[in-house]
Amino acid sequence: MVKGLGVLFGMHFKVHDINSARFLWKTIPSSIKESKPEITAVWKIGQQLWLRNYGGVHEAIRGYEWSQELQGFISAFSELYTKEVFQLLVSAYSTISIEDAALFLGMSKDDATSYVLQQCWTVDSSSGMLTVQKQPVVTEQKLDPRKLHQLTKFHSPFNLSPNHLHRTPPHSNLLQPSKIPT
Amino acid sequence: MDPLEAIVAQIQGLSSSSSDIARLHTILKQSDDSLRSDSNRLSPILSLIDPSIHSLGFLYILDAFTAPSSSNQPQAEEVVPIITRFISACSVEQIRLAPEKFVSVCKRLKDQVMLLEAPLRGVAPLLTALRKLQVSSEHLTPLHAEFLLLCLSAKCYKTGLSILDDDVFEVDHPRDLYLYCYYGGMICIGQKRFQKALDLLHNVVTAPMTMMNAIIIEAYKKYILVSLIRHGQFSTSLPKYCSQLAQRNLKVFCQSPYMEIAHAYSTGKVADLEAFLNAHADKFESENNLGLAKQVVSSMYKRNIQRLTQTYLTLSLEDIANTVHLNSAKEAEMHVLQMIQDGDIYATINQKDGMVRFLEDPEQYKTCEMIEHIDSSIQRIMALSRKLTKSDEQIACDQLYLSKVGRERQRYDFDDYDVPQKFNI
Repeated sequence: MVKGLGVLFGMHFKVHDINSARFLWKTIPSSIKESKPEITAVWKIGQQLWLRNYGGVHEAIRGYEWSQELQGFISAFSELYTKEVFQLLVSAYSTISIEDAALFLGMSKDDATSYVLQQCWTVDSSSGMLTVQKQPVVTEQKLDPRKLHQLTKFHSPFNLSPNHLHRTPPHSNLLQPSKIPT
Repeated sequence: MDPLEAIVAQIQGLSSSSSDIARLHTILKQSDDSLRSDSNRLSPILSLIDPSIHSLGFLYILDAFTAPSSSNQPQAEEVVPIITRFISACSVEQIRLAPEKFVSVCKRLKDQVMLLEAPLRGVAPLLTALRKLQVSSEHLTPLHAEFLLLCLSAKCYKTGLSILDDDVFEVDHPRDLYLYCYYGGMICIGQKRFQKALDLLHNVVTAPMTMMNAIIIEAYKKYILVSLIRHGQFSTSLPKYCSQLAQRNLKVFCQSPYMEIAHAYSTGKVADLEAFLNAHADKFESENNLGLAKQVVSSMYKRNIQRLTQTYLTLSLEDIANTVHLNSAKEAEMHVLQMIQDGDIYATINQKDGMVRFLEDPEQYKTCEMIEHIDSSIQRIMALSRKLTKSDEQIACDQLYLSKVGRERQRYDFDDYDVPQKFNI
């Protein structure tokens, strides 16, 4: 049961659906919350994710001795989360202090520095600043000729005659009729 | 022969072909009263007939068995599994012959699971039930609103969302629509899909109605708050297609504190807004809108930061904090970071200089993904336009409509309202 609940929480975290994780937490009976502290520990990770306390997430992950059932799952999530936070740093920062980077990535300052250096960032040790290396985003841009052909097929779907649907008689919510053949 | 035994024999014998079932239906309709008067003997009968083959018969007996008027009210624990099994096993063609009975039985399931304080037990069965009852995915049944209510009570918001993505074109009763849109709006709010919530609540507020009801008032209150969260503004004028009743009365009912909070929001001052919220927290709490009101306040920080992007190319974190009334540059940095993460703003933070640079939306509308998106939107609008034309033609031929237009003809432009002679007074 602990493994089941733990995995369910983990899946919500993974797809960034912290809303569902919150609701899951609210519906778990308090007897289970009390008897299974590991579930409370999993939820603590969720809480930090909800508050967007990036450093706090890592602390919550490391601050508990996970059972064998959940250990593998939690480590996998931790790795995934670190990668995501790194991507966020890349997109949001041009320069960032080593201290903050370490906090976000949940690593020591030295580990954080070597991690980002591997991703082609540069470090200025005198100021304690890291310069971010932006990665060019590659998106599919080739125009498929079939799509163009389809666009040519869109002709006058909006060809409603001017009388249609424009004037409505006052004091009524009715549509205006088209001419009735007499 | 005992009448009950006779009915069971009929059910077992007449459930194979559609003509047999039609005969059975007539017999069951005639026996409805006697079934209800004999309700204490019905429980063992239910085990004699198969819900999947004898669905119609089972439905009638189940309805009589669980009716609130029956002398021997069965326990909730007994009833819930029976109804649940019936819903999953029943045949779609047979239950569509007696839709009102099916709806009553399902509503009783909802009542029972609420009584047991286990709304989750009703969620999956009601979803199955409404899908079986629906003639198409565009058909709104009375069960939709019941299902959404259970999802809200059980906090299964995501399950509720699955039916909200269906477009609705056919509605059985107007009241179903009010409740569906209102509960649907609440589910979307729970999932933070504010635009969709706004659309649904808008439908409640602008729906045609003959008298004021509590649903529309509560919907309007939430509409005001969600409008502030999503758009940072709220327009007090209701659309022209809103009913007269709504136009005259809604604002009166929602003046304090909802219209007032909208007014406080428009000043742009967070401190004032927070003060207003604290002063009226009890009122919001009693109407279950406190959480939403708090989201209104936090959305104002976002709104104010977004406004800065329209004036500045770069700005220091310190200045952002001061303009937006945050406590420190670090707090400002966290706000900006979260907005970047959510896609509410395009910017880069330069910690070395303590500056933020605001960027343009990088979307160039050139990618294949964007083309697919535009493509599918065009298809959807074309389909909608076809439906609208068809609907217009149907109304144009409607007797009731033509006679009303015929009566009022002299008031309007002759050419537009030319109707056949028989409709003129």
